[in-house]
This record gives sequence, C-alpha cells and structure tokens, in this order.
Amino acid sequence: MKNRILFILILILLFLFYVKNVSASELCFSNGYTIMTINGINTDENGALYNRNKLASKFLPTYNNQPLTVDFLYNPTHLLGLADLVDVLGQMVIDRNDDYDMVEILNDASQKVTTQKLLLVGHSQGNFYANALYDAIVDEPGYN
Amino acid sequence: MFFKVSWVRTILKILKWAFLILLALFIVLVIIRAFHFYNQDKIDAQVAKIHATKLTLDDVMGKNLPPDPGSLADATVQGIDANNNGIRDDVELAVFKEYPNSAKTRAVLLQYALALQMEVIQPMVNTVTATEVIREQSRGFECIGEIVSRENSQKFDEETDILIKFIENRQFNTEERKNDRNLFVKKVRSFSGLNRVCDINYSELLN
Repeated sequence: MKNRILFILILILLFLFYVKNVSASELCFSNGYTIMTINGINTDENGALYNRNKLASKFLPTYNNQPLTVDFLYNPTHLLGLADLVDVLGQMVIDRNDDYDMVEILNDASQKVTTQKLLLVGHSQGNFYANALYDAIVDEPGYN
Repeated sequence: MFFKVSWVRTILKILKWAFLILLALFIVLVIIRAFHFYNQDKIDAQVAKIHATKLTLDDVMGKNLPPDPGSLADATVQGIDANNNGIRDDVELAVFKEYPNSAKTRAVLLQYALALQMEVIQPMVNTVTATEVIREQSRGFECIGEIVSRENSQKFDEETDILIKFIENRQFNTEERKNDRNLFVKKVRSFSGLNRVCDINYSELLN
C-alpha cells in the first residue's frame, strides 16, 4: 500500500513538472525590443493596462529599425494593499522576492517576452519585482 | 526463492497500477480536449469577428449619424446603437459635437469607442475573447497618440489624456458600466500588442 501511494505521488509530480516546462517559450529573437511595465501596490488590472497603453503610445512602433513591443506584467493587489505592504517590508529588509506573485510574474514574462533585448519599467513595488526578475534572467545559462 | 516471487509480484502490481493511472489520466485528458475542440471553433470565429470589426470612413464623416437616444442611452449597459456601427450612439454624438472640425480626432476617438463597446456586445466572454478585445482597445489607445505631437513629452501626455478620458468618461459613465468593465478586465491574460495601424489612414484626412 505504501509503495502504491509513493508511486502515485511520484507520477503526479512528474506530470506537474512536465506541465510547467511546456508553457515556457525557449526562443528569444535577437531582432526587436520589449518594454515591460510592472505596477505597484493598489493598482488594479485597469490601471496596469492604462500604464502599458500610455507607455506604448509614447513610442513609435519601431526603434533602431526593429519592432518595439510594450507589455505589462501584472502585480496584483492583496487585502486592499495590506498584504502587499507586508511583502514590501520583506523585500526591503531581507531582500525576499520569492512569493507567489513573483512566480506568476516570471511565468507571465516567459510567455510574453520573445526578444533578447528587454527593458523593465517598475513602479513602486514593481521595482522589487523588476530587480528580482532581472536577477532571475541573468542567472540563466546563455544570458549575455 | 519465495522472496524473489514476492518481489516480482510487487513490481507487477506497481506496473499494473501505473498503467491504470496513466489510462485514467489519458481518458480524462481526452474528455477535456473533446470539450475544448467543441468550443474552439466558436471561439475562433468570435476572435476573427473581433479583429474584423473596423471603423469606416463613413463613420468618421458622419454619413449615418444616429438620433439622440435620450434617456434610453443609460438604460442598459450596452446602451443604444441605432445605426449599427458598433459605437454607442451617445458616445458617437458626443464626439461629433466636441470635434466637428477635426476628422482626424474623430477617427482615432471613434476607433477607441468602437473597441471599448466591443466588450459589452460579445456573445461569449472568456479569457480568449476578452484578451482579444483588449488587444483591439490597446491598438485604439495607441492610435490616439498617433495624432498628437511627441516633441514635448509632457504636452503629449496631457493632450492624449484629454482625448482618452473624453471617451472613457462617456463610455463608463454609470456604476454598472464601471463594474462590468472591471469584471471584464479581470479575464484578460498575457497578450502582445497588435500592429499599430489605425483603422483609418488619418494622414489622408484634410483636417
């Protein structure tokens, strides 16, 4: 019985890893630029979308004769911003950025970013996530 | 010997269970995918319709302006669209009233209004259709910036904000419409922007 349970757990774990890995795009193009905005606390989806649109409208669709993409990584608000304030304290004092939102932002970025040239524009708490995202990217093999 | 037979039996049992679990997972996956493909055609058709919805030059020139909807304008979230051009009549008339002498301004504002109205007339709202509508809205938003000079960044912000707020304040002018908007945006998932080509080539318009 113990073996059976252990085996089922191993099988489920293998499936979970497989599902997680197939969602990430492994190719990034050298041609093109991407700008990503990351909002701060107390900003809803509407606000994040507005930030993205506003920034996109300030630029022309191309830069250096290469396509320019502007998008946003959404940093959701929790418990009217109170939970985010606690997160910010953690991020300021012990440089801790491994919460659920960071995982979501990383997954989101892996789907959205298709260029090798990337500019992260963080606002308020978004800067903590921007820094953490930068660290996560430069730690990856193949980064230059 | 007894130990070996028992050991082989355990392995066979585990393999049998592994096979049964994999089979069960496969059957569940097939059932889920069957539902998915059943709906996919409908969703694809809706997405194609969303991206095929364009502003026309006749809309910009006011060749088929609707009558004033009066108090009926805010009776429902969808509002009134008597001339069936996809733009809410009260918003359309407000644009013409405010910018009677600038076809370029009307072109970009009506495109944005058309994209915003799409979110309340969708026959099915799910993450795919909501995201595609928002992509069209973002294209409309960016188009507004196309008619404003970028020489002075602060002035650019002020002028585009005036134009965007002009449409959004009218489009989301009731609590019900604001709430619906918030619920709609929550369905949006990751997306990349569409090519920034305005529906109307505003550079060919005289004013």
